[in-house]
Amino acid sequence: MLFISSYDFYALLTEIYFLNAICALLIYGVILNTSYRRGHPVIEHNVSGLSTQILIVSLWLTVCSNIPCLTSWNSLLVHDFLSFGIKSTILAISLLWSLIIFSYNRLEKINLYEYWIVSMLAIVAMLFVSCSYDLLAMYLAIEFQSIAFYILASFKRTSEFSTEAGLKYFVLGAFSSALLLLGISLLYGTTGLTNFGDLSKFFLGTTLENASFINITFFGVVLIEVALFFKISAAPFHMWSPDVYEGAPTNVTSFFGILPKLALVSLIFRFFYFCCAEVVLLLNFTLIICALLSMIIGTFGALAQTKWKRFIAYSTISHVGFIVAGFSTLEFNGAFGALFYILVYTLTSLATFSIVLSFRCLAYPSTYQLRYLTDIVSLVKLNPILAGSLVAVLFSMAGIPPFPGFFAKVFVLFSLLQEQLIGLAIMAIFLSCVSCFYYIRLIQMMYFTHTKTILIFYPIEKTTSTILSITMLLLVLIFLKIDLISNFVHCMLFL
Amino acid sequence: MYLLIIALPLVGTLVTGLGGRWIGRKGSNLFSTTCVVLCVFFSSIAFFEVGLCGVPCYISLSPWISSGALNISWGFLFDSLTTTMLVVITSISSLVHLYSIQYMEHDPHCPRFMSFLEIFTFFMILLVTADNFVQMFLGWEGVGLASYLLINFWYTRLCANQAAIKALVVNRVGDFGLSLGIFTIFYLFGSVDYEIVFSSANIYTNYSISFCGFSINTLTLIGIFLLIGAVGKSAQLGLHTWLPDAMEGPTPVSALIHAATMVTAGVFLIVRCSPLIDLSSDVLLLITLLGSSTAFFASIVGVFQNDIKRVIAYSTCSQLGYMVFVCGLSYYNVGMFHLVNHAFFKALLFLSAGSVIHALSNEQDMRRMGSLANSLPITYAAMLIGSLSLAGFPFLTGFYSKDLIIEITQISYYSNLQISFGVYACWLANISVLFTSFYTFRLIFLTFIKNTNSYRKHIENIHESPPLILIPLILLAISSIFVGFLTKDIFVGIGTPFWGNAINILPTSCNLLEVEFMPSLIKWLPFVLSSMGAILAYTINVGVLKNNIQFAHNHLFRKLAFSLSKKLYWDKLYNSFIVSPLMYFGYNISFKNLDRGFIEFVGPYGISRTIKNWSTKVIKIQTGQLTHYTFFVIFGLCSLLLLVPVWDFLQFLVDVRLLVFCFIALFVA
Repeated sequence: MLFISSYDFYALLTEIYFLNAICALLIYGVILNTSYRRGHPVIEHNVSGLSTQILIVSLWLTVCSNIPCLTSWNSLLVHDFLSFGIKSTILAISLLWSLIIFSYNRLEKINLYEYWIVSMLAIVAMLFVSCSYDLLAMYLAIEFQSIAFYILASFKRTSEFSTEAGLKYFVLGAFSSALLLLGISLLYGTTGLTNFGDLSKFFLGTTLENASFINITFFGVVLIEVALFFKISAAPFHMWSPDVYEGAPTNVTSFFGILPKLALVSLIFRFFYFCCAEVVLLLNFTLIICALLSMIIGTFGALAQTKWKRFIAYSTISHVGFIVAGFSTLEFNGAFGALFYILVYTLTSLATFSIVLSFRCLAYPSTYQLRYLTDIVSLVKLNPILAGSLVAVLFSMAGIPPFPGFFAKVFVLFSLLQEQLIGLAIMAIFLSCVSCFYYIRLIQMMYFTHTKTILIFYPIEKTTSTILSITMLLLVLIFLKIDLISNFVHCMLFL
Repeated sequence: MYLLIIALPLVGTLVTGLGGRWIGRKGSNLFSTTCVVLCVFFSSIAFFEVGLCGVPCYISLSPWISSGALNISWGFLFDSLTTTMLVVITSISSLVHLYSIQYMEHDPHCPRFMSFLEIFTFFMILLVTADNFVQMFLGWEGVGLASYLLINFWYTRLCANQAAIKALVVNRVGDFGLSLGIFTIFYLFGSVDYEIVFSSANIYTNYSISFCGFSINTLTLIGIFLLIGAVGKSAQLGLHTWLPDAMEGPTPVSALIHAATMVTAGVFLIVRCSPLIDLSSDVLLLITLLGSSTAFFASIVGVFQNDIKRVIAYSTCSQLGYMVFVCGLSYYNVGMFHLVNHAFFKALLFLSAGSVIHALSNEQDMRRMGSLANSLPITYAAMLIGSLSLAGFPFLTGFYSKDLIIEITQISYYSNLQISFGVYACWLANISVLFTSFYTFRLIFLTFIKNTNSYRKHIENIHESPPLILIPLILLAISSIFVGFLTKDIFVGIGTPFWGNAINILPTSCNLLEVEFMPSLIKWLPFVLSSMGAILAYTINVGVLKNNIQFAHNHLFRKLAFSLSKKLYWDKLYNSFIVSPLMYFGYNISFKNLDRGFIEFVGPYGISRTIKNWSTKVIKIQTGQLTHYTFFVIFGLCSLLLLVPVWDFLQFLVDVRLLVFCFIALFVA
């Protein structure tokens, strides 16, 4: 019984527009790029501009829509404050992200317009992930997103690293998808339900004693949890992330680093706090263990890294540890902390990648991307403003007070303390001390280490520097009005 | 005008200290001296207004610290006690400034010296004008700092460094006592303002503090803490060791700081806190015992010192003992009277000694002097006047206060006064008179009368000091003769209204009149004793016994003399029983074993090492093999699933704190 109303279309307006636009863009690209008559023109630049335009329009469409709180498409998708907030954030951040990629793609001579098509598809998949309201919709959206990611990871077809990364990601991702499917089917098998709302009603009042199906349900929930944690690279399911970050081309790494976690975290929130809230209450130790392991592995892993992208991958894992720790309280304070953390993390990693992408050196006649952490030695002499912004970013990541990273950590730690997870809080503080060390070591390298060979930095492009300055302004000044973020998060949590 | 008294020295020190390089030696001399002389002028007016006309002045400037119940403001209190101190401080300070212009003539750092003298004056004025304990403590610490700077003025000399550090460290003990006292005052009264504390002290007589099972009256405790402060600053027995060593500083410094003003800060503190101290008879007893022991001890040690300045230093110590114990008998006004008189004649003695040292090209050993009366007649006259005043020769300044103190001790055994411990003070005070007179005349004979032992080179160059040195000497000599006579009736006259509410005197102690009715035999006693001392000094040094030194070979005498010239081994005792164990502990245990050892190993070094180890271990998991990655995913999944059924059981076993502990243990391992 398919029952579709016009509200369903209205709620899905952004996605519909987005998909149609991408298809049009694809047709445009296929026709123009293969045109013998026009000499197989390179239309990467062209398509990137058009993609940005699509992002702008869809951001506009999302932000200007009335926020309907409804489930649409036979309750497969949900439209509420959370999905609205996450969608608009994803679109805004992707807009900024696309602007920092311009110059990189041009300088690296990435002439394949498909890059943009696939990225756009990944973005629309994220939009779907953030509003999925059914186990099936969730699975499909995640698969949609993952397939786009596999392609992106192996995008540099001529590079061994890139193909290796794509392959690893694909195999492991398929593995986790299998786990996800198994979990879904177990849940369906025991309850006969796939809808989040139905499941949450079904699980009301579940305790260990009064439910006979509980063991199988546990099994299913843990499987789904593992699959989701795999996607956001929480330890011990983080193994793919350093290799994929390292192997993929940097523009793709930046995509992986900035965007997908936002959608997935909202999905995890929906799943743990709404769908299986009553069951997960009995399973919160799994969250605690994963949070603890992520923090430990992320922190100690990052300490030993020498390359930028691996370093970022490990530091991401430790941030994910904090987010999971926020969720592990299973209270709204914790969820608030976690969502606040992911927003701040997204902002910070946007800044990080805009800086890392502008580490280009000139070796006449070409330019190359810097890959090692030690390349930034005495950066302050070459480009003091870039060095200064990196300092701000690193301080924010390390959680030094006026920067938003501090507030994020504080909210998570407060919620941990409120829920008596004191051991986890102590470990989190201890590990963030260690992480402080390696962030500040970079600052020390930039400012106080002297080198004899001085690299010649390629000037930063205008678009990248615009994004850099916007994110810097936000990072440095947001503490004056930190409730911008916190009110936003509160609004999102007002389900 | 009142604020100008405080501000002028500050301006002086800032200008000479920071601008000395530009205004030069003469400029800074002129500027600083002008500042202090103006201060004398204003202080005299203040003394007239407040002391003589009886109009106390109270200035509240601005809040300083305001935190919860603790409210401290910059406030200045000018009562008769303060103005008396002000007159003493500023007049001695200005004379010393004048003297230093000549004395430090050849020193390249003259502006710095002047600046230090000024800063000392500033802090001393701050100390006496404060209207609360904390501001007083600021001045207290400030004069300690100034004392350190001035003792260490010739900072290239090892002795000066040692003496300065010793002065600072020993004073720190007293300062610690004083700060504890202030804390206790705040604890008890909830305020540190004089007016609140003193006016409400009566209410708290029955309060007590329990500490380690002992219960002690709070006011007694406060009194003991304040006494410890006073002992440190006023060089009373126990913490007196820094004062003789402080003579390493330039002589004007000794005159200003270590004779006339700073060392009397302890006495000032006791007098200022008289309303508190009077309420606890135990503290009064302690003060009396300590003060009289100091007077006696310092006088006998002074007998066998050979350094001219050290003799005077011990005499200062001894006179401070007099002031303190008379306060302990609750005659604070007499203590203050002696303080004022002592400031004049002791400054005179020091400055004369400085003149001698100046004339003899920095020779300080009395055994290498002699016959200087001919070459330095004015200095000799000044020194003689100072010494007679010190010895309590009738109708000189010292006589009026010192004689009065001794007579007070004599009447203290009257049974109705209930201060029987005064007898102890009486005995020691009288014996001290003998020794005081002996060593001061010994100083005169050795320096001025006896045949010279000096080097020919020194004698050839000898000359009377220039006028800028002599003017302060003459002025001080005149004061040393007349001040006592002139101010006797103001300070300790029968029924004088001078002190007003500034000091509190026990009702039992309002019996100065008794002194006048003592048997005349006893009234003669101090004079007889001091004459005996003088005659003894004469006989031994220039008289009959000069060449007949058989008694000096007596075994017992030799031992006694030796131990006295070693200052009764106080330094030795402190060094071997306190200083060196503490140094051993500080270096070998707390520094080498704890700080550089255990804490370093567990802390910075250990943690950084283990973190590095751990991070390499964590990295090794990342093999790059797809199979391993899959294994880890499965392993993680399975362990999570396996934990599900046993978690309820494990939950009780695995305490989070235990986990953290294990983790840290792993780290340290």
